[in-house]
Amino acid sequence: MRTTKSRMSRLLAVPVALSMLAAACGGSEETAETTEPEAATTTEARQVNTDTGEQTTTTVAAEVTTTTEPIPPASGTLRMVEFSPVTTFNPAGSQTAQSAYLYPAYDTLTRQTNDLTVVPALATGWTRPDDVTWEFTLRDDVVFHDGAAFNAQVAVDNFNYHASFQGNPNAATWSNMVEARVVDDTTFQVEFASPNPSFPLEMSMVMGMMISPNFLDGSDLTRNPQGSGPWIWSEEESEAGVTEVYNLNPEHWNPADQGVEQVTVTLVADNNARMNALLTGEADIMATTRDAQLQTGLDAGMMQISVPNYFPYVFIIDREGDSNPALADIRVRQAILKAMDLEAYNDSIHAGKGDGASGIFPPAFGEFHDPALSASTYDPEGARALLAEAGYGDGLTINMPMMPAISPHMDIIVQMLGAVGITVEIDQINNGELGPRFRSGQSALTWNRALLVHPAKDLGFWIGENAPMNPFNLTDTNDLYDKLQEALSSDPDTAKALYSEITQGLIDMGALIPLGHGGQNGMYAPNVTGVVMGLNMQAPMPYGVRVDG
Amino acid sequence: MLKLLATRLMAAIPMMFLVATLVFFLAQLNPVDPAATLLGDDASLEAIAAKRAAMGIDRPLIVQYGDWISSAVTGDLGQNWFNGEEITTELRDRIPVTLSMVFGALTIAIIVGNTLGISAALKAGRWPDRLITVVSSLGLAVPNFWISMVFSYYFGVKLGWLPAIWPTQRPDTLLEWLKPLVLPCTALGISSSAAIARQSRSSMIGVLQRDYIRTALAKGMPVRRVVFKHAIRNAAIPVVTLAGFQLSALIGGAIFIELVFNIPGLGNWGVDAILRANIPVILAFVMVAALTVVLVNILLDLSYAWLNPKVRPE
Repeated sequence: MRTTKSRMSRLLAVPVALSMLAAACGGSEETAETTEPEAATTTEARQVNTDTGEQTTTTVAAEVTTTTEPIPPASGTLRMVEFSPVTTFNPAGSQTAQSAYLYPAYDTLTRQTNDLTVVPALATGWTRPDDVTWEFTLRDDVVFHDGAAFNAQVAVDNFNYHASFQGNPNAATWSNMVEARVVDDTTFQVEFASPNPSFPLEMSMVMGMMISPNFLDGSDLTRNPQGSGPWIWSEEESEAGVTEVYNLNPEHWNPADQGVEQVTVTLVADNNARMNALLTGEADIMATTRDAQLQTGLDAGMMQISVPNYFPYVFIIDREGDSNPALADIRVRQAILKAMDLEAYNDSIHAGKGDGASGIFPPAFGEFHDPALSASTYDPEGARALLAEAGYGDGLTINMPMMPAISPHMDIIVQMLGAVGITVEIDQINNGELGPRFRSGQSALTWNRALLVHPAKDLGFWIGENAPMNPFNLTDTNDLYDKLQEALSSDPDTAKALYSEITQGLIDMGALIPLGHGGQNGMYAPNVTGVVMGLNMQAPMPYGVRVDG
Repeated sequence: MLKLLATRLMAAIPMMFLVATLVFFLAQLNPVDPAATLLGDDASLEAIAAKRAAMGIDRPLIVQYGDWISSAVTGDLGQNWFNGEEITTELRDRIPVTLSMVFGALTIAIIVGNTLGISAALKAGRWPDRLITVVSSLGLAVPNFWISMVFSYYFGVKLGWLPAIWPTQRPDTLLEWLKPLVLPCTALGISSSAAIARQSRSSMIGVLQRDYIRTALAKGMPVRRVVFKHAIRNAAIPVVTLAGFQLSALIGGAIFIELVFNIPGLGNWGVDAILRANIPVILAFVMVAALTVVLVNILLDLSYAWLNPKVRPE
């Protein structure tokens, strides 16, 4: 997590996170009153590392917070402007891109802080009894907007609902779930077919949003959010495709989340218009800020929040050369790697705001980042030599798909490959077709991007016979896949070493060509405090945010 | 006049049916898969196939057309695939916004265009005429989306005189509702003003050279009276025709202006629908645009008949 312009947001994140922890584990008595000064309250929270090392019921005692400070009452309106419209208020059918519309109305089992730590929310703690099982302990004072109570059975029903929901964008996670079972009223377990160390983290995203049990029967939630979140969606005040309005939920279990009385999320699709909304005071938070826009906002005194998990790459899918025999030669694939000038790519795509480093996980992913993998691989002379050695000294033609949304990326890739003698023929496709195109094996190689979350998820996308990025079911990554499985059941240090080995293996075999890292950026007005944005979010969360003045 | 109106309205019905049919099948040529767009890049092929089935777009085209047209004739235009809202509800919310902007721009265009055109005609061949001609040419040459971006940044962001963007909270008063329309209407109306100014100038120059005008002037009638009582009505016919055409052009131009100012009108809605192959919205958008053009043409026919009795039906 990186914030610029002011350290204030970083400093504020600490009390916000602590108050979140405190509230998460406090009883209902301490959260019921928001306007009265609180008596001294002692709370204890548990925080569990999401990595695989904490396999036993290790719990990390979080800060013990004693406070005599009253929670300031919610006041004002938080106005967010979003890049994409909400397609559904059903978490089981929702993409990450639309999560900003769902967070006000739904609570998640866990939450993320600005340092990408997973902390309690509806779940007060979680443990890992064995490699493939997670056990969650839940709050007992949560009530949904429709009055239904939250308990372990509801959580289990939610999981089963997600897993069986037709057209769930997160089906990959749920398909790995074997069973969710109730232990007692506030405890449940979820078992997977293979280790899933990032599950508590995923429970801070749309997948972890809990729906009222009265609406898990196939009810249409498209424009009918039914969660327990700090704000209640207002159908009367909202206008589909324009602005969604949420008003304070007086029954919410954590008044500390409710810094404002009302939240509005407005669709402003045009990048310049979104920035103008922020600069003219028409919005308090601007989601999805392009790298090239950041300086404009900073110059105007706005604040930046970024999650550096945007990882663009080129992936060579057809490594047996069915569609282009040249790609079967590892020297050709490595020539493509050496042709990529990551600094130039960073300057062109991220306006110099990225890191232009190789490897998969940037330094912000402390527990997975390996500095040894960051070294530059750019070597155009070496690329030409490899091509000549492989018999393509006179040039080579490859074919890559391009949809309008990725044309800036492809333009520079075409130039860089052209500089070493590789001609790229563009297969023009439409926006939204890139994923289906490579998943169905129609592309020998492609540009793509990952929003990094956890090696278990991200590496699993590329390696193994049945990986989504392996439509030809090639077996050349099987040994890497075995290492990944080993990592999922290893202690953190061993796992980290294995993740690095896998990354290096993917690069060495000329399958994965990293293109540096960029950020998922947001900007906000200087009178806004408590802004938190985590992984797999394209907008900050509204929890605990206050708008002064 | 009533007969003329009835005839035109009757002719509009089969025309709208034809447009509906044509647009339905043309919209299917959009190669974007709405199910894939809806589920995002990370969705599996199985999830996309399931979504296509749930949306009913895996059925034969003729079946889809039959369903849509039979519902449409009853006023049910279906649901927006991307947010589940009824299309008719969205139309109800968005049509007034776009029409306000379009008619606001047309009003500006008519007032500014005619003022400039008549002024130029009265000073034909002299420097005011040449200045207005140059300004009109510039107005026609500069694209209105560029003007709107300049207006939004300069008057909205830099000077802060007027809203640079549609308010993120619903306006409470008429003034609050009109204020954010000033810059978009002006930006949208500039090219139409220029077109009308040029037409108005040449038309007025032609009329001013007629014998009856010269006679009136020779008899000592004041120029202002000659222009406003005798010349303007005859000069207005081609200007009215042009204004009618401009209305259609303004609806098209509004698409870009709405994007720049984030105005929740039909243009923003239609562009988003086209980019994501949101067929029900595309169909509704085109039908509304076609209906507007048909109605404008009917109004034009009626205005001709009012301005010139010779073209009235027997």
